[in-house]
Amino acid sequence: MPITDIETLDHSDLNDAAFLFHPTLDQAFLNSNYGANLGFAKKMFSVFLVSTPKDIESLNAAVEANDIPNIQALAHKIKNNFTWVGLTQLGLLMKEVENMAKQNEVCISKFYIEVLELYQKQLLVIEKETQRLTDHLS
Amino acid sequence: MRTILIDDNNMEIAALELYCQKTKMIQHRASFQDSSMALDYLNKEQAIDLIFLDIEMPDMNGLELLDQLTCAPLVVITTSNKEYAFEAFEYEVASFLKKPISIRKFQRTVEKVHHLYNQRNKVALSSMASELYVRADGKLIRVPYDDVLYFENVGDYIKVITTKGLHIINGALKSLAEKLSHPRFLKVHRSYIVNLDKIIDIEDNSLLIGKKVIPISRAHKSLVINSINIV
Repeated sequence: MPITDIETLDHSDLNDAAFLFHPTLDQAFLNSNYGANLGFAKKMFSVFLVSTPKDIESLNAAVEANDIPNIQALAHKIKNNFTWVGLTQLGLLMKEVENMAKQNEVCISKFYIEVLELYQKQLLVIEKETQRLTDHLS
Repeated sequence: MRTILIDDNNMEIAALELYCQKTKMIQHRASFQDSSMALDYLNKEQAIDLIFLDIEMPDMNGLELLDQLTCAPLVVITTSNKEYAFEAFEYEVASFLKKPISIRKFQRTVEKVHHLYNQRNKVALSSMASELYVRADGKLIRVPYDDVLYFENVGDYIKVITTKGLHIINGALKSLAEKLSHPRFLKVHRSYIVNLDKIIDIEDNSLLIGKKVIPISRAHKSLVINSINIV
C-alpha cells in the first residue's frame, strides 16, 4: 500500500510553525511529534489536564496507603502522560517511582513527595501552554 | 481494516484515535479503556480485523485478553516496556509499537499490517486447495492434504510428516502457515502445525497424532479449542 494513502499529520502547511513551546518542555519531542500540527498538540495538552490531575490524586492516595500494586500501576500510566506534553524529565522520575514500587523500596514515599512538588510546578506550565495554544489557534 | 483500540490510558487512546481518523486503511470501530469490556465486544462482534492492544492494564492485561479471544484478528502490541516483547512473540502478533507512538511509527506499522491483512485475504480465497507440492530429489512431489499428519520445525528445516512417510523441506513454519491456506491446518506451537483431521485426542497442553505427542502452547490453546467441535 503506497504511503500516499495515509494523510500524515506533520505537513508543514497545517499550521504555522511560529509557535515556540515553553523552554522547560522537551522541544525535540514536541516538535518531532506534533510538527506544525498545533491542533493535535492542543488536544493532547487538554486531555492531559483532564486526566493527569485525577490520576495523580489516585497516586497520592496509593502512596499514602502504601498500596504498592496501585502505586506501580498508576506511576506506569502517568509516566506516559508526561511524555505527551514534553515533561520528559518528570516521565523519567515517574518511571523511577514505578521501579521503586516494583522493588518494594521503603523510601518511595519520600522520593514521591519530591516528584509531586516538581509536578505541581510543571502543571502550571502546562496550563499556560494549553491557553497559549488555544489563543494561537483562535 | 476494521480496527479497535484497547488502552487504559486515555491520552494514548486520544492520539491513536486521531491517527486512525487520518489513515484511510483504518476503519476505527471502537476504543476501550477496560480490557474486559473489549474482550466481550470482540467475542460478540467477531468482525474485527485489527487491534491495537496495550499490555499493562489493570484487571486483565493484554496477553490475558489474547488468551481468551475466540476470534483471530491481527494484533499490534503497544507498550512502553520492551520486556513483554518476548512473551508477546509467542502470540504471533503482527507488530509492536513502543510508546509514545508518533504518527510516523503508526503509519509504518499500518502499512506493514495491511500487507499481512492482504496476504490473509488471499489465503482465505485459496482455501479450496487440497494438496501441496514438496521439493525433494530434484522433483516436486504431490502430497494430498489428507495424507499430512503434521509439520515440525527443526532449525532451518521443516519436517512434513505424512501417513506415507517423511519429507524434509527448507523454510520457516510461519511462511508455510501462510502458504498452507486451509482451515484444517492449525499452528498449535511455535514448532508445530497439525492437521486437525488427524488428531486422536487432546489432553491438557498436548495432543496426540499417531504416536506423536505434540505440545500446545499457551498462546495457541484457545485457537485449538475453538477449532474443534466439543459436544
